[in-house]
Amino acid sequence: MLKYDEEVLPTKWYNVVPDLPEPLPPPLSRAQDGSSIELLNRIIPREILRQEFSFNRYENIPEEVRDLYRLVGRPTPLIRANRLEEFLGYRGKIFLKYEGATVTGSHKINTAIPQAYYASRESVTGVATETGAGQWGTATTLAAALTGLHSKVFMVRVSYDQKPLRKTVMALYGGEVVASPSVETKFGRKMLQKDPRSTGSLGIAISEAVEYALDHDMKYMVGSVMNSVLSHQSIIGQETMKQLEITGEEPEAMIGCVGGGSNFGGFVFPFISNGKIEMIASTASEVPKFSRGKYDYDAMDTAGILPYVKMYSLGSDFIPPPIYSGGLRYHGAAPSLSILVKSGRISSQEVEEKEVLAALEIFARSTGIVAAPESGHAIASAIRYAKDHRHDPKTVVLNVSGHGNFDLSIYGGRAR
Amino acid sequence: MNLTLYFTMGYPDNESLAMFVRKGRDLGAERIELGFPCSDPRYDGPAIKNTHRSALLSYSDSSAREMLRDLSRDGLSAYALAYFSSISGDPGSFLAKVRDFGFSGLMLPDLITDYFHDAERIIRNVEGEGLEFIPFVSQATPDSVVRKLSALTESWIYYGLLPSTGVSLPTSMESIYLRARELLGGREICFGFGIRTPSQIRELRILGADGIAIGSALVDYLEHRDIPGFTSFLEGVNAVRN
Ligand SMILES: Cc1ncc(COP(=O)(O)O)c(C=O)c1O
Repeated sequence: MLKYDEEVLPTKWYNVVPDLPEPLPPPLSRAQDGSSIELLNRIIPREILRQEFSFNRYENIPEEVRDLYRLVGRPTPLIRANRLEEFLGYRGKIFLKYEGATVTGSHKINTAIPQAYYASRESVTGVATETGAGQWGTATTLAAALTGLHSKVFMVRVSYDQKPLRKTVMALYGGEVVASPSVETKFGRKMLQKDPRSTGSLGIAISEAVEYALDHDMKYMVGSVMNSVLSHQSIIGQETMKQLEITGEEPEAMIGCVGGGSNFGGFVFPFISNGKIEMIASTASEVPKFSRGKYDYDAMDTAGILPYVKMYSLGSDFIPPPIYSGGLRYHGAAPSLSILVKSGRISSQEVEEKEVLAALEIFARSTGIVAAPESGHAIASAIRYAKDHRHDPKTVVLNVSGHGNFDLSIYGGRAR
Repeated sequence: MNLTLYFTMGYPDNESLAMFVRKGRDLGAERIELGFPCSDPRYDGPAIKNTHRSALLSYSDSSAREMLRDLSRDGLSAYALAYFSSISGDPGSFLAKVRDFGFSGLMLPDLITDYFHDAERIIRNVEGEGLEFIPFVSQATPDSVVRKLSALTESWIYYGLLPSTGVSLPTSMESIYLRARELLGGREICFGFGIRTPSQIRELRILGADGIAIGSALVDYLEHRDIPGFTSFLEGVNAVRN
């Protein structure tokens, strides 16, 4: 192990809750009988559940998990995007943290590993989950393979059809993939009955995966939104902090994209107590959760099996337009992130798919990185930021949550 | 380690409740916490939610007043619990009622989560009525908020171990206790939510907790008006807490 890597790879996960400006509202059970909070005992590994409701500022990362982090390519690089600065005529600095450098191609592996690791230490047959873009499903199937577990993935229909190669990768890792809504669960069948041509949604796929896990004695892997997931993702921000420190840089603005909020939260939360840093959450105009969503209790899944949490949400039955960024089509945003947006500590902005495509192209030509369309929102916001601060140059750090090597059809009509 | 018993007023009926409260007092409980029934006890688990649903039909001010009169005659401190959402229409007359009934203090479990920006003003109003305000904090309460609440008040503090009453979730009592102690220093901390077994109580005692509160674990005895069961449960609690 290189000395640099050892210095940069964190030994603890950071949880932002003790440092929030207001209390985190507790989850609510809307179950008619029993408690949907207690139900989590059946589908979430014990240790993950303990972390979820413990809110300790720091949790130790087990050495076995750090080993797996190294195996999948951590720490990921922090790169000075000087050609992008030149292209934009920007006199400030732009750094990018590249989560696409992990073997599965996104930040999702950062939480898939600990969840599968803790699941594998209990007597379960396997893990089940949903996936939108396919990044989370890929991370889950690899983490399951590395910890000796079977995996089952419910993939949102629209992505299933748009991204056939993602299915191939997941199958290569040993995962079993079905399009959602599927006929394999009660909830999926109900959705298909309502609309046989449903393109699906993350909320529906989550409902199916949870139901499947409950019925098959499996653990359910949580892709985003929950507190423990954002904590696991804090290794992104902690690595960035160390890397900036080594480089001798002070960040002034941090920008990332938000689906459920996990890559963004993981990236910026470790910096939250530094009030001088501006933080910008970039979302899809087509899924305007912060501007049009309501901050209130809502279901995390469409079926409402999981507890309700207080968050910005467009409604758990929201069916988003079929934009390419599958990972940003989720109806809500993590409760801790929602509080920070509501309080004004974090600002948000929206980007349309057209602007995202243009940004991805500029980015590819100036950094060589074919970024994920989700990350394209963050890139577009960073480009806007550079334009707005032409006369007030700042040090900007941008999180590129994944690569877009499986999303090339997005350029179909364009590449010349 | 002192013991607080939680009951929802009016459950299972006014007469039986008075009997349980008296029995609890005889068995050495230092404090009685009495909930005003409401239609949306959102942060409670299934057992206590049921007591609210049923108590809404049977609760009456006059029998509550009478029970309180009995309690204060014996010098037992009684604390009221109410969801702020259910009294926010007219908090003034509710506070006056709580004081007139003879309660020592008031706990509002939804205040700092759902009315964060009004909390300080409301706490001052409660104290202005001559009532102790009992802050309710949990692991989800940020450090700065815990510090602020502890600076604003002088009473004992209720610390919720879990996100809801009466559910069971994996926890590490030790790390919860150490964090609470670090933030609250020498303040009296009473731990509640999900306490039902002797081993939990023993662990909290060994750690140094000042008190425990038990609520959901009593509901079955109340429902079946099972005084002998209630008695032997509390004897078991006493055996480990003292
Ligand atoms: C590459 C990529 N970025 C971002 C996201 C959005 O999720 P989150 O906001 O939880 O990071 C996803 C989700 O699938 C993704 O695959």
